[in-house]
Amino acid sequence: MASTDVLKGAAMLYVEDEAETRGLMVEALQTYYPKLKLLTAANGAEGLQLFREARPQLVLTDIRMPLMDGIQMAAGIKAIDPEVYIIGLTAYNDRSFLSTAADAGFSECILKPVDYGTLFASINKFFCGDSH
Amino acid sequence: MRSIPRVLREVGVTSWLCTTAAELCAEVEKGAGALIIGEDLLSSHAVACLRDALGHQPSWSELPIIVLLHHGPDSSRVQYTLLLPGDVTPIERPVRVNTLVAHVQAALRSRRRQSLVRDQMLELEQAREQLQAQAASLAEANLKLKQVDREREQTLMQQSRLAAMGEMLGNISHQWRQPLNVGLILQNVQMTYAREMLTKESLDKAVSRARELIAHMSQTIDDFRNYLSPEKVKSTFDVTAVVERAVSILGESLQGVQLHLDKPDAPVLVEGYRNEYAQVLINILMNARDVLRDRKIGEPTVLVKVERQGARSVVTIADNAGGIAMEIIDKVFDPYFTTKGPDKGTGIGLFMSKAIIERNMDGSLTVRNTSEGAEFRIEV
Repeated sequence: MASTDVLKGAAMLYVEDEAETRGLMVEALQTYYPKLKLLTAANGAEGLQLFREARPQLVLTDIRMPLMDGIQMAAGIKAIDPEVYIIGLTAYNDRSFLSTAADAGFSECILKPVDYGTLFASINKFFCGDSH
Repeated sequence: MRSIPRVLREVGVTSWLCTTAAELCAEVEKGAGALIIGEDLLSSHAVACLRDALGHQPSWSELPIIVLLHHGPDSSRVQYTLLLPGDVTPIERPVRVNTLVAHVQAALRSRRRQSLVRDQMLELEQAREQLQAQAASLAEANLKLKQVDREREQTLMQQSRLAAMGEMLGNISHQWRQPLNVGLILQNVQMTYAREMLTKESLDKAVSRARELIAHMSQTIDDFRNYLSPEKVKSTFDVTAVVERAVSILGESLQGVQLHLDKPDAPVLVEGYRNEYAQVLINILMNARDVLRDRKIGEPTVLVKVERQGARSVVTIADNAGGIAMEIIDKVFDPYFTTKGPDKGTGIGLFMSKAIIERNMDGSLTVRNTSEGAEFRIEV
């Protein structure tokens, strides 16, 4: 359990097009980080819009999505704020994707199926590193 | 009698003199042109051996036989004359030389004609055999061609099935990843339990949803496996069930197209190839989806109607994409005809669909425009 007090006032944007996956992840994130402000979007376009309005510090996003995929969205977000930390959730484990992911501005990639231990460790590391 | 060979030699006829019935029959068997026989030699034995020698002669053959009778009243041997198996001419002695020569020449002429007929018949028979052999080899070649044709068609069919499958796989990766949510469900249960927030309701809900996802995954795998397995024999199937399976295989690759299924009250059964039929439905539905997407139709809708009309099953698939241009509506079933770019369409989808329905299942596949769009009609 991380010291979640540092998360007070922090915001995270979570973008995932598949409703059930989104619901389950939101349930887990809210249970694990009750103080974190969680914004959710169902595709890249919506995510970019939300980012512009709310300016969260952390973005967690699926890659393959309709309308605007995670790679395009990440590029758009980086154009607004080059400092933002973006974690990509991907089922692709091929190198070609991972190299373009870095170019597109992904700070980190976590492979699907998501393991909460790995995911929460990354989120904790980001917020703790960010706050001290 | 003894002077006859000499007389005949003078008119150019070769003859053999036989003194016993056995000798006579042996010569006949060798193929004499005509036979002169004295009444003295006629006996039941002679008749029997001649019958043996001539018994199996072909239909064209009738041996000319001249019987030389004694002068005066008929002897008891004359009855044998009537039993001889041939073209019998009785002549009473004494015979004038010219009469005998005339009879012999007439007999030989008629025998020669018989052999001409025989030759012609043989030629005809040979020609017939040749024709028969040619017909047989033609039939064989035709059969091989048909087999090659069927094989090529099956290859094409398998290719188009795989192409459809490949395209679907690209689209439905989300659908196939859905069962991965089971991993999230389990981790959520674990987490709520650790925080002592787990209730019976939330646990039951998680378990039933996880089982649902797994059942759905299992069904999807079955759908695909059944669809891809080749079928050699026709079976009887429920059209509505196949329509539902095709829609289930397509799943998310319908990409937001509203699909309405108008089901019949009673099952509509069809005899044919279930997977090939499903392939036709998938082809038509994917075409509808593509055109609805390309034309950016506001509320993309496909209506599939299953019904029985008399002895036939009728499935109509109607979209609201505006229809097929009149210039090309007659060409949509042609091989390699496509309105899509080379990366999208091979142009064999509807061609194969028509072949499946019309050639393999004796049905019909047609298309017409409605006021809203295109309507494909499958009758089997």
